[in-house]
Amino acid sequence: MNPEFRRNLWLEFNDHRLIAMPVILGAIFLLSYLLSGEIGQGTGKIATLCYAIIIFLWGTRMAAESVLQEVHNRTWDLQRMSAISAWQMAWGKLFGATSYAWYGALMCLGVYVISYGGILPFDVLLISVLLYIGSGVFAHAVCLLVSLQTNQRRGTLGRVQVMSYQFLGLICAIPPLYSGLAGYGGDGVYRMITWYGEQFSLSIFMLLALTAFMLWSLVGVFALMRVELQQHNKPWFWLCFVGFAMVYFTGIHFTPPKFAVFLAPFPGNASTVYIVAVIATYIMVFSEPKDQVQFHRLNQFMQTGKWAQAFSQAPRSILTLPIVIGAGVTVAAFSEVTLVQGFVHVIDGRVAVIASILFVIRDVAFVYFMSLGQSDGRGGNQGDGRALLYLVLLYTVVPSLLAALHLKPLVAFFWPQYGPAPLLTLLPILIEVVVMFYLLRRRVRTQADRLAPQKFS
Amino acid sequence: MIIVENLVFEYPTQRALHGVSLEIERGSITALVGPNGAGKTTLIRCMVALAAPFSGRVLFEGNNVHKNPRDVHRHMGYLPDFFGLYEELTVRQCLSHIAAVQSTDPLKWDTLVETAAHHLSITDRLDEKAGTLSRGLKQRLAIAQAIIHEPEFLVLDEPASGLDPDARFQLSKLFQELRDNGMTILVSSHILAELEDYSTHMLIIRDGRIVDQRAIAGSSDAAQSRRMMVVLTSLHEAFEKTLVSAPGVSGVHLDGRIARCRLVGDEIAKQTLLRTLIDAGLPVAEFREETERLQETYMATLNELNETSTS
Repeated sequence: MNPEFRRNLWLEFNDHRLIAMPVILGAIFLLSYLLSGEIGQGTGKIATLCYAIIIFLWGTRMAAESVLQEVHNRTWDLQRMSAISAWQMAWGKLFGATSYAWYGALMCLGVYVISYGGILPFDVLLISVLLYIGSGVFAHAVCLLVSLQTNQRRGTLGRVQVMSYQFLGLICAIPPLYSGLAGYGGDGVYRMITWYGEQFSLSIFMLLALTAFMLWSLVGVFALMRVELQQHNKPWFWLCFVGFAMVYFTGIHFTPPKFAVFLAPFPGNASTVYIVAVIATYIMVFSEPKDQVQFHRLNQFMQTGKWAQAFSQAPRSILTLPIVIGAGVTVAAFSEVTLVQGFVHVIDGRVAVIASILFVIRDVAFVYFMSLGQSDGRGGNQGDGRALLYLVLLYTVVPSLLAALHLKPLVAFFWPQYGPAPLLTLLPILIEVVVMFYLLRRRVRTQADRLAPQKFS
Repeated sequence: MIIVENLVFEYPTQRALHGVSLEIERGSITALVGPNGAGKTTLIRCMVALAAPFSGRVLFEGNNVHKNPRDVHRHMGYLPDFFGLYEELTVRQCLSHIAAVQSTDPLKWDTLVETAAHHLSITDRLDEKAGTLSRGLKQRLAIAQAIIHEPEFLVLDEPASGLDPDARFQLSKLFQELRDNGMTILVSSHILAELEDYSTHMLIIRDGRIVDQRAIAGSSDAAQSRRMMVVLTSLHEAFEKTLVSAPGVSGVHLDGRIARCRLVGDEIAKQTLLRTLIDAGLPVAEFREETERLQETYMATLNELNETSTS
């Protein structure tokens, strides 16, 4: 047996806990049966509610804390000094730390199956159970993934932090579960979804999508566990995931009609690819660890011509930028200059997209600039938090203020414009990018000088 | 066995190790000493592949520990300065878990647990929860965890803190026993008097640099500098001249019929010196190697460095 899984079983299960879970759940289900007078939808709904509480509220907490508790209790170094593989450690933690939650959750699913056995068709029941299990594993994996990423950023273990990881896990897992369960209307009608022009059963599609994203989350946990165990990853895991997300989301047409008129100048599929790349860049730039040593090392690799190592250790957000630029330029090439209903000027899609690429580049440089300027030298949460706050202000309050002061031409410094004058749209952000890169370069150099060996005294 | 080559480690705001190079020979017990903040723990963490250096490398039996950390970890044991235990597990479960994660033979787990517990005198506590143990017993359990898989290289950061005098004595005996069984040990501690009971080598680190590495009493190292004492039955005019001209001898200090000097070499060098003295007709009454006082050596080295840096 996986030793890490076994250790978690030792911690999670004892005689008292083994008995407590079935007794408590049994009492709840018995009460539900007595109140409704039958085993049917009433008990089924109680079972799903209990499942949701156990897996999504409690299980996510256990998953999020599994590594952070070890770091906090100073047992993590002992684990890192062991000889078990990253994969063994990853699944041992993921399923071991949440084993007691699954113990109760599987009981709930058993009651759910019994309750809906005579109500739902077999295939719907089976898919529903698989959706519940898949979304549970996905939520736990995301929580563990985020906690591992946080640990590499020297994050702390606090109630608020753990709750935020749980929140992220739920944001990822609940939508596919909800959509998948909505695939069967209860009236015998199976809802459909269109993906790349083909019709699929919504439930089956969401189950497959959930499975795919769950597998990606497991890959992510494995990759980050490798880093914890001092093994190096190439960036391919991340870049392949970005590619997968592009392919997946491009197939789905979910543009709300309200926005369709604004998106008219832009090519549909290419725009989705571009948007996914931009979102991936922002997620990574705020989540990955950033410190001066990493930049110093990267600089050394580049100066000595070790390009493979430089590529391997380069920040993932920066490696995603070429995808953003490539997708953006493609979108710009196929964008049009059109007069949109309700607008005074024509919208030049090409200029707007190029400006947005420059804004992304500026923002990435800005986040690094802020993170590398921390007094402790570590690009931790504070630098990212400040950068996020300033960016929100730059994108919302400042442009509104300028517009209110009738200084609209200056808005081009803070928000991608779409007017017909390319120079006035592109020049301000181009200046910002150049200034930002100059400042970032200076900061990196200053830090590198500070790290240079001092004369022994 | 362990070769450290030009190791540089950087924290975001400062460089902690400045091109550290050293070699630890098989079967030795090396005391790693230095002031607070000198880089001892950072060096140790790099050596056991828990921290990646900026540059340089650490070779364990020829393998770069940072390229294949999982392969070398099974041959290493490590006790950190501030360690934790799985407090809800019993002592037996704690030890059994470590035996399992170190990929030892499952058929040997019970034996390994019993042996490690016996070494640390915690056999009677095997079925108690780790969290209920006293501080000293927790320390013993942590050491037992570090040695349960019978590593070839054992690294301990302040292993004796929290132990009572009797347990410290037992620990000293254990280290010598482990060394006799072929284990190589690196111990970092502030308690120098304790280190000299069992150390064969000393490594002094200051400001992220190795400032001295030497063999100390008990070592068979041919390059070791030993402190020798020679006592004659009566004064002899050729005493000083004979000593000064003897091969490998330096720092002769004569006080009547008693002389102290340093001798570089192994047991054969000692034999040669004794023969030289007797052949010269000196009435040798006593001839012995004096135990090197670690504290004195350490302070002398640091003082020497301070004088060099101020001059």
